[in-house]
Amino acid sequence: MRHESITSADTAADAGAKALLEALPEAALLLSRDAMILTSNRAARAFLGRDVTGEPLSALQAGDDAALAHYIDRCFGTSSPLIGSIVLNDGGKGDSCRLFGCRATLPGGAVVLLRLDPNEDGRFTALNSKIAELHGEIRQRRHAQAILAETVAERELLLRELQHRVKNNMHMLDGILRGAEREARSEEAKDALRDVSLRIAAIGAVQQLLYSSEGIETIDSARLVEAVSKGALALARNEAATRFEVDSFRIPIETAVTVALILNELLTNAVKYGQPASGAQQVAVEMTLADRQVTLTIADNGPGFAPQQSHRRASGVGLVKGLLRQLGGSLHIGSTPEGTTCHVGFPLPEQEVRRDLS
Amino acid sequence: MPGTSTSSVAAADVGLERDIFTRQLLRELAGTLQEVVGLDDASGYISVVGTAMGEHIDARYREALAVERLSREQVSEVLVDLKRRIQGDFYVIEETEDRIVLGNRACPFGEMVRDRPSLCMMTSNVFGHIAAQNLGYAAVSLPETIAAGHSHCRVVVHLRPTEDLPDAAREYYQR
Repeated sequence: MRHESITSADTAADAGAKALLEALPEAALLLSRDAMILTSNRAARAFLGRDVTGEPLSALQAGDDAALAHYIDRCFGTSSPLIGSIVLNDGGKGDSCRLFGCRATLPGGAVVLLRLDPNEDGRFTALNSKIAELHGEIRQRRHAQAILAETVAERELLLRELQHRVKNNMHMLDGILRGAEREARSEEAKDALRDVSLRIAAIGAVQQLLYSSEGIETIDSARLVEAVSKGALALARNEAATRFEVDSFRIPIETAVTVALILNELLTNAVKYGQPASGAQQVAVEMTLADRQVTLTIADNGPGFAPQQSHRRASGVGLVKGLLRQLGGSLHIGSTPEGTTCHVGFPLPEQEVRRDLS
Repeated sequence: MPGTSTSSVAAADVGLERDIFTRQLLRELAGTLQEVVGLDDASGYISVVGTAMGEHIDARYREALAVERLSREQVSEVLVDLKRRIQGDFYVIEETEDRIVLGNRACPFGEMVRDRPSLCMMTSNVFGHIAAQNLGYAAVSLPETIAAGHSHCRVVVHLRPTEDLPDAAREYYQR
């Protein structure tokens, strides 16, 4: 049965089949066995951008014509959809889409019903392309990261070697000062040389920690206090009773050297001048970190002092004040006949505050 | 001793040889397809391969038997024989002018076919292609399959396009 509105290209499809084809939501074509397009539905016209009726299917694709013809021939042999694919050249789209082709027997003869599935394949094509692009980028980044890691490791090795040499030089310098101290004839000269030796030892302690710790830019506060205190406490005529309460946190190297010198000065003063008239000497060291603020407290149970009355102790305090100016910190001294307490406060920059959770 | 280690590896009972490897490979491929694109689309992909295999096998039998087309009797024999050659165990249950009903006690894919019904499209398309190309038309239905958990397969090859074809039957035409 034929209808006046059906074109001559619809030789194998009647009006009913054409109506059914139009009802399909997906792009669909009816093809003759030799892959000529007999008719297309509305979705196909929208997808392809024109009415392709009368054109060969091969005119739509950018791929192998023989392979496409073979696929259509196979579709002609079965009523169950065979899956294929086509790369469209339409309008330079270059989209790949899946094909579902099968034989349809119409009153006018057998044809191939070909459905086009552009969405999923188009999406996967774009997705695969993007994944490939990202994969390449990741590979490049990993390569760059590997080179950087190697460079950093090399730099770290060189830095450790440098720190090792500095530490050895500090030990050598300390040894020279101790030798000079032993040979000095006046007590005043001996005291001065001992003080300098202790300061050098305090800086050396920081170098030692840097060399032996995992990090190369920061050291642990508790280990710093422990290392610096050893030298200063050795000055006590009789062994002092000590109490340490120190928070563990990371201190950057630049700050650590200054903190070591401050601690050394205040602890040396406490040991040298904080001896009580009777009973055992007691020395307490506290260091805490709260709200980016470091508080260092050194206390003794000595007779106390007035800064203007003790030139030597005041000299050490002057050095501490000078060092604290570098850190933007402050010093408060409370001295009574029952003892002296020195409170030191200074801030740590935020990026340098990292609690050592280990 | 290195020699002892190597020989013990070579003698190990790992149950691996080319045939098992190939079946396992096909099982994994079919399983991946079924999971990624679903059973219907996976069956569509296997159908394309099945059609191609049908073309190859049909051509080989015609050439070997030196005939232009296989006869009705030859088609029936070829369907059983081709499966026998790939370690299937098909046999004819019923044969009339309208249809050939075949049974099968052993799938060529072996136990690897369990839960891989998309692989049955290989049988449907190979049988359908050979029957349609030589006899003009075929519709294949698989009411029972080992892949779906049955103890055996039952394959019906319809040779006439009738109104009472099962919905699951797939039709094949001479090209």
